[in-house]
Amino acid sequence: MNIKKLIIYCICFVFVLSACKSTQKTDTADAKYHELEIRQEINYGKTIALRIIRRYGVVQDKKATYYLNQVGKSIALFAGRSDFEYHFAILDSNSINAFAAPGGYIFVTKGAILLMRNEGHLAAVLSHEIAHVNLKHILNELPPPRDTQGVIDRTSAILSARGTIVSTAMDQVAEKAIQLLLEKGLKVEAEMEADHAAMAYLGETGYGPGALPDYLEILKKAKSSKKANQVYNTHPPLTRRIAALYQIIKENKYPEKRPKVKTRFEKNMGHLKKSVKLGE
Amino acid sequence: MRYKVILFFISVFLSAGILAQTLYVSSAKTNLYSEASSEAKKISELKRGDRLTLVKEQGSWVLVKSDSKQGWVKKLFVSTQKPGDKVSILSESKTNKNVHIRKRASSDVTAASARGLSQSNEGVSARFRGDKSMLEISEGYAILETMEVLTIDEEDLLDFLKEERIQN
Repeated sequence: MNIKKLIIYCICFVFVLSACKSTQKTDTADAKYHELEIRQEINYGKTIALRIIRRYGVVQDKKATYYLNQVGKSIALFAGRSDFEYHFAILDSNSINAFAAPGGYIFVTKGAILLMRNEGHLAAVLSHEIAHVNLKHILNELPPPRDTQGVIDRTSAILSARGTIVSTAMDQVAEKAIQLLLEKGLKVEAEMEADHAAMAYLGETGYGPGALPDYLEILKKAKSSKKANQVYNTHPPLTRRIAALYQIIKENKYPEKRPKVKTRFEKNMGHLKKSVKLGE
Repeated sequence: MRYKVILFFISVFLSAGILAQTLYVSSAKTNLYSEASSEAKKISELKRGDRLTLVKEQGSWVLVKSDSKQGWVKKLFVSTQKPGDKVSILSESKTNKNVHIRKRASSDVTAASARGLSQSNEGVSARFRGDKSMLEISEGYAILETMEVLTIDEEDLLDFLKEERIQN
């Protein structure tokens, strides 16, 4: 081997080595950037979640809330994003709806739970909301401002909420997100996409995907019998959603016989039925 | 010969850095199927963090290589991001409990300013409040903190699912 060849081999070797090293550096930088993005997403979600909590109030029931979290976190274990924790709470409202804020903050109204007949129905609603978080529907529709990577704290929450001292870019976007979630609703495509993903999440966790169209049928009946006057009014028409879901079950050959878990659901949620009239 | 060696190094560089896309399993566990269908034969069980090499995509499925095996996995349960520790932003009051909270003069004033509402859209949002006023900010924040500190071990969640035969 002459010296010329040796030099060329050495150059090539160094070239490959440096490429590997730069890939490692990129990986580290990517990981740091990813963590910053996640922190920003959680921060954004907290800002929105605080507003939802203040508007509706939360049912202070340890048994029901723990059970809700057992079901929700179980689905997240199989179908959630692994970079943050998911949090679930029951909103003190007899209207029938559920909401998801970025960063894993998920809410179901008491009215929505009262219409459920088993754990499968609860899992179906939570899967749909987890899908909104995973598919970043709010984040894509209304991205948070890029310069707010700090941590929301009690002081800034109070000051910005009062609107007298601080009015941050984050607050303005969060307010728009609230209007989107609670009043206008997400795009029809986003809702259908969340339904589609929810079916896969249910199947992956071990619940029956049929629980989702089954629950929507209950909502449809409740709406037509006027038992409930605010049924998922931020979502696409129920008939369209139900038809699409049955089509998904057919195409994917999802198993029909999966546990519905009625007794455990009644044991943990049954007591919420006392002193409630739907739609009030 | 010299050019062949150079080409070899370049191809190694390209295949290592650009062509081979790495995916990671994001679900606690999921199956590797022989075809792009849940009805297909299960080749093996994958667990969170398993490293996969993307071969091709087809609808909601991806064909991947896992160790020496090749099979299909649902796109929803893999990620380009390696699962790491959960990022957590615990509330500031966990470290500073002496934040002064000034009582508001009226719940309606705070409610309106919290939403940054103008006179025109106040009516639209007011219907969500019903007869109830919005919660105090401190109260809302305390609820948010309660939500965040509730964690359940992975083992307990699996037991919860196994109890009703949702998982085997």
